[in-house]
Amino acid sequence: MQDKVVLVTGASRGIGKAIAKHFGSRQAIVIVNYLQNSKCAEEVVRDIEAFGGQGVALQADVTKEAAVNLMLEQIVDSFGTVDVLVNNALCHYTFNPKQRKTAWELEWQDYQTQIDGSLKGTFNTCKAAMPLMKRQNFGRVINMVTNLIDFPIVPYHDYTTAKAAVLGYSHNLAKELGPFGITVNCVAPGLTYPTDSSRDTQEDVREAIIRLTPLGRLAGPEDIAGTVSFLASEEASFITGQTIHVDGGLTMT
Amino acid sequence: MRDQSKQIVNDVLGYIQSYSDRDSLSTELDPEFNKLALNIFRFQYERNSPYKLYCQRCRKSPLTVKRWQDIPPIPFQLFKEAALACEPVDEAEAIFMTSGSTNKEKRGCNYHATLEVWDASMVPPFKHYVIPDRDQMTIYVLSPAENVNQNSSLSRYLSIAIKHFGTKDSVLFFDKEAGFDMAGLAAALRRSEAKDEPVLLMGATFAYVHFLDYCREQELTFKLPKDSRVFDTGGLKGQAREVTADELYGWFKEFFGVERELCLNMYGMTELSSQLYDRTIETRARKEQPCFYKIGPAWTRLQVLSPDTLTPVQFGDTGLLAHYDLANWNSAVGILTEDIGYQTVDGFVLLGRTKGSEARGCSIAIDEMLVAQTRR
Amino acid sequence: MVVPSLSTRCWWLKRDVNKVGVKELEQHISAYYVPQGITFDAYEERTLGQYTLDLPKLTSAKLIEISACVRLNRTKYLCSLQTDEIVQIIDKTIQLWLTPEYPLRKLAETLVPLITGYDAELVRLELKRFLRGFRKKDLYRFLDEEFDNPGLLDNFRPRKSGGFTRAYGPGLIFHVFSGNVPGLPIWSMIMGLLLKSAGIGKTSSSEPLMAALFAQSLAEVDPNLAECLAVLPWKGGSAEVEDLLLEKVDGVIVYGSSQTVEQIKKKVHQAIPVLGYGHKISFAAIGHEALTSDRYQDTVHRLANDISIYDQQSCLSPQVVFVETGGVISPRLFSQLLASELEHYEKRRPRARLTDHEIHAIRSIRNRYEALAISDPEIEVYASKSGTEWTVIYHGEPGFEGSPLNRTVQVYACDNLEDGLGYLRPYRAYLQTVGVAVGPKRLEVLAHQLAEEGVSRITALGQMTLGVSGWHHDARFNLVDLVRFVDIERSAEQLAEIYDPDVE
Repeated sequence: MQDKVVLVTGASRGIGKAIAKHFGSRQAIVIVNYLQNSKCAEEVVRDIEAFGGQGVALQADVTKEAAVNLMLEQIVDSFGTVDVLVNNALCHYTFNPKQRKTAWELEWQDYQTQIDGSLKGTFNTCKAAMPLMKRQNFGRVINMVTNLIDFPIVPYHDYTTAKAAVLGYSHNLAKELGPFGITVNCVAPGLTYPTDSSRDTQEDVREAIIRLTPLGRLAGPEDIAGTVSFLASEEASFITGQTIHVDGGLTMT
Repeated sequence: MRDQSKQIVNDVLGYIQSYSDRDSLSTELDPEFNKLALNIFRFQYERNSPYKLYCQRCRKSPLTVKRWQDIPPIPFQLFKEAALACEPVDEAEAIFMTSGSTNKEKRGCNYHATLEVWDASMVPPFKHYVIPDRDQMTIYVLSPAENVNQNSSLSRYLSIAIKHFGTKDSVLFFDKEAGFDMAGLAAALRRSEAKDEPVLLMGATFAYVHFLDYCREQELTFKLPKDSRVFDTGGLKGQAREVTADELYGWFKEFFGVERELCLNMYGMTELSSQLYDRTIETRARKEQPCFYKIGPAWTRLQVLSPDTLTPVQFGDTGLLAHYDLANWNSAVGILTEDIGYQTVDGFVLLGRTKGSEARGCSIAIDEMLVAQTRR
Repeated sequence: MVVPSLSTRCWWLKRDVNKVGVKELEQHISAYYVPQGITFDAYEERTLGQYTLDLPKLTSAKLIEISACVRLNRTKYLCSLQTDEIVQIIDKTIQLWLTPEYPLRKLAETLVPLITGYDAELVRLELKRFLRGFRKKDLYRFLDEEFDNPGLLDNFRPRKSGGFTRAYGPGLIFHVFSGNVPGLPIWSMIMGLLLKSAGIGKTSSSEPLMAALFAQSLAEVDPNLAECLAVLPWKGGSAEVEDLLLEKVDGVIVYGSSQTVEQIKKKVHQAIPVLGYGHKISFAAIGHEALTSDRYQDTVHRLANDISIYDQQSCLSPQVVFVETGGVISPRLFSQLLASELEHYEKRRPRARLTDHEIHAIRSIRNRYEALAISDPEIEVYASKSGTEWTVIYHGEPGFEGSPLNRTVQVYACDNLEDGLGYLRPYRAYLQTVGVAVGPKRLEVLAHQLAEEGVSRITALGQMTLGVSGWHHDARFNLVDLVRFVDIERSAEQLAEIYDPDVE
């Protein structure tokens, strides 16, 4: 990953942070995108620099086209391009099985919010990065989805539906961008602990999931980061349009 | 000049003054050279947008470049297409341009915000490699000097040489209107013979070819006084006539009576601010075996790159020459040429310019004549 | 790749051991062909892995001896064959080559990549594609294309205006082969045979083998016919070898650079036909119709194919591409896709190793355009990352500039393909093939416009490098330009009648 320019959205916390740090440890130039928490983002940058990597924190609301374009302009001005795009940002969501909305409680707005957060955010960054990747005949897009699409162990309707939309978008993108040397893949984590989003998932649910998981534990942020990094690597250069589940074998497709 | 530029200029001048007696093979200076080269690289990257854009296309930036060897050498062609200058071009003290053979052809420009660095870089190596054994010499100049062309680095070079190292008998034999006064030069050489005071001939390589033609026509040969020397620059390529270096040095002996060890070729480019020299006279002055390799001052370095990959070749292998020159602080610290050569432990060897390809079959490859036609 | 086992590989060599002085070592390959009885005093050897090519050292005297020999053999045998019989023999020979197990084919598939540096898979495919163009049906098409009545080559045939005509081929043709496209010499050799001409072929050092192997395979089918041919290597232009030969031949066919063609033409003093196939430039023209969302990938693929086959060394390969705006992909995007496709091609079938000069030429044009691209947003260079494997230079405006070849291509955007035509004029003498991808409505109009600019062959994009039998090579006839037509006029016919002792 030496000197590759990697943009990770939603990278100030959780899985995004782990991904950003992982790329940093592999000598990439990492753009740590965040929405609000500049302090956390700067910390991620410092961690990356501690590995001898290069990092920079850039604020942008990925659901806003103008904000994304501005961010990409800044990146191009400083680093010339984007080689790897990791769409990790999502709209705030609490994974609490007790408080989740049931099918009959959901309003369209709930879906809209999640679709904006996941799909629109991904769409905006992909659209802005595409010309750069096409120009250099190289690009890696890695979109974060969820194993709940295949196995809704807890039916988080709005969240999972939006992620399923990202999956469909990714497949189509893979088809059309392949001829330009750009790969598009997804990573579908299972419940990943600890992160801010999963903190509210109760202990008994976590235990239940662990019992069903062949590898007998929950995913950690580093597990996800390792898979993302693989998809960005030279070794994965002939893989596109795929989803890798990182959930210890909970779902097998 | 902006403060940052002043700082860089001071740093470069400081380096040149400290190491004016060292050369490009002085590896003990590598850490210091590296530091200053990286500073200049960062400065150029930040201050010159075409430079930055080119570096970005090569995927190099101050963030990632840690060794001078990794600074992308700028193809000399870029000097034709963009203003490579960190200081405003309209405030430049001098603009040196490449010679263009046709009107339409774009000319490469090297902008010098101050000539202070250029001059400082020129004088000590000249003394060291051209007249290490004397303080002054009578210099006869065959090519246009500064009085003829303000926009030529060679012209300035010749004028500064006379100013610093020429005796009062030194003469410029190229006049703006009259051109090259060959008869005048021939007469002056005769007088030198009589006077028995050594002379230094200086000029572009092809100026000698023309003068030697004249000598042949007029049936003139000279036996120049002991220690006289011949300085040529520019090389033999790109002229209507094919002359080899060996032929030329043979003629210097035949027509001027100057031995090969007292002939010296200077390698310079408009796109650089320093010059590289044959080590013949320098080594001879030290009473060593004359060395025919080339060398530069301590503020220059050389990389030989594979033309296929632009990565360094094995030491000693042939490739494209990329020169690094700290005196080029305002334009580009590294320059990629189309000259081929190789390195040795004592310097480098210039083998000449790359030639275009000869297609293997009946398919016509790029042809300069046709290019010229389409541009018409 | 599969290398044929030693025993099958060289069975013909054993058979020929006494004949042409082939050394007994099995891995020695004779890269020449001469009639029986011709021997050489010395050979040069060229080692290729486990193989050694034997190349005879030639003197002028030897060459003259050979020319007399093939000429005599022609008179004794070839002259007496009917064109149909010649076609049958050639067809039989080609059928041998179209058998995958044919030992000479296997040998060629092994050695040609080693000699030329071209990818082995590409050579295998292209050789068989090329040879398929010389089957019986193609040869008849070729003959019919050029002669209203190919029977003219065998007998005097009646003319519509009265009298009779017969076509005579040269007694002996001197072929100067080029080495850029493996197998190309076979075309020229077959032309000569169809005209019942003996032939001496000078091979190129960059590919000396295929012509020799083809002659060997002819000998397998009809030894007497092969006796009328000699295939030999010598350094082109070496006066002491070839000048005397030029005085002894009745026709010359030269493939090579324009300089080579000119040099030979200058040396020919008698009035004999000299066909010269010199330097040419070809290009592609892609209309917006070929850039719809369902078509563009196919279009790019076709073009990449034309560029990659034999690394543009064939004069039929495009050096320049005009791409029209108005499709779903812009010319710029087209260039990017082409770049990706060339990268894929490189992974599948890597380009040949280049000489330093060739690499310098690519590096130089890249540097020049990369410098231009910094100041001009309408210019872009897309290039392989590691080395000089492929280069696409995009121009936002129409223009025309040749390429240093070896998978380097210039792409010019135009609002209408016609806009590119104005830039062709300086190259008029060199223009040859255009690979087009346009709709049916425009094809004829565009073809006419291209023809007016000097183009001589308009073909489908993706088929540019494959000439078809009967084409007008460089806008001319092939066979017709070599023959002499001899007429018996009606008066002679009528007068002859008078002298019939039995006339009424």
